[in-house]
Amino acid sequence: MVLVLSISLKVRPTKMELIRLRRRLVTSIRVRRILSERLTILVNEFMAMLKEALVKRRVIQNQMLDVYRSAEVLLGIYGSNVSRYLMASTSKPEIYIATENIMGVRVKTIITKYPDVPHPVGLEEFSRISRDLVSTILDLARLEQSLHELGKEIAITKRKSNALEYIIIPRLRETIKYLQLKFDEREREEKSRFKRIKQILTRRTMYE
Amino acid sequence: MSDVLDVFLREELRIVNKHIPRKRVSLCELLEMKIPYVTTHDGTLHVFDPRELELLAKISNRDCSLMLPMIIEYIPEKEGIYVIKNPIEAGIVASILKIEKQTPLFLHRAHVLELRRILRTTSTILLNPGQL
Repeated sequence: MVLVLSISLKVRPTKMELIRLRRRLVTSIRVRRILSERLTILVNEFMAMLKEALVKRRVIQNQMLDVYRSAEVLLGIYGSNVSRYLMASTSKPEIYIATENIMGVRVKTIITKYPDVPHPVGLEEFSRISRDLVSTILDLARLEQSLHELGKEIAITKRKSNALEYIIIPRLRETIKYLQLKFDEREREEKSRFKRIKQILTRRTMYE
Repeated sequence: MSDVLDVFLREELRIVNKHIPRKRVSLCELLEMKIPYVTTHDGTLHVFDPRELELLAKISNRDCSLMLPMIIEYIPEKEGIYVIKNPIEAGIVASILKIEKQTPLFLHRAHVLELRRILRTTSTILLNPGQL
């Protein structure tokens, strides 16, 4: 016989099934706890990154102002040839696009390596602050992309955690409860049957 | 239904730690690599931030026995409590967070968040599901 219940699962009312359901309930509770902890970590990472991204945006604005000011000074000193001089004297950086793994969320990152050569003469300050600006912009890009990916992962994890908390675990609990009631009822029936049999047997022996 | 549920639960426990590296690499090896990376359990590459490696090299005096990423383990029995079991890692983390050095080093969630902010790529969280 198979029981079909609206709020509980479709199970056979056997002791074996009850043991299996209990085991499944324990696993579900553990998985839910793990998922909720993962969710907390992901949300916290998301919030921390959000704050960092806002700070970086402000830093970029200040750095851009510094770069513009420095560029104006250089233009005043060297004239329009400064960009050609800069292009010719600055060595190109090595740029690598790689992945970071934050709690199972893959995020793209950019690694920039500048060769160990001295800055062009007279342009040290400008070179230094423009490198800083580029590195901050790359950091901001990484942060914003991470925020996007983390947001998606948070939504998925939240859905799984809620499904366990509000659907699967209550259903398992309900089914276990139902099976226990079923077994109790069976036991009571068995007892009364035995009593009845005993009565009949006693009566039979009396007549004999 | 029940089989699907069992598969889902088993799979969740399997993928929850997919970001843990297959094999950890020492700090010295990572500092010598052009692109410092490790391979995670799901087969993807996890690249370390060179700035973080330099910071760790400075704090640990280039200790080659330091294996990275540092593993922070979540204890399922105690909510919001994490532990670092390795004495070298515990010492470094304690000096970064400016807390008392001890092994194993127990951390609260706030500590972990602060640590993750500083060591974003060189630390990772292991979610231990406990005895099943």
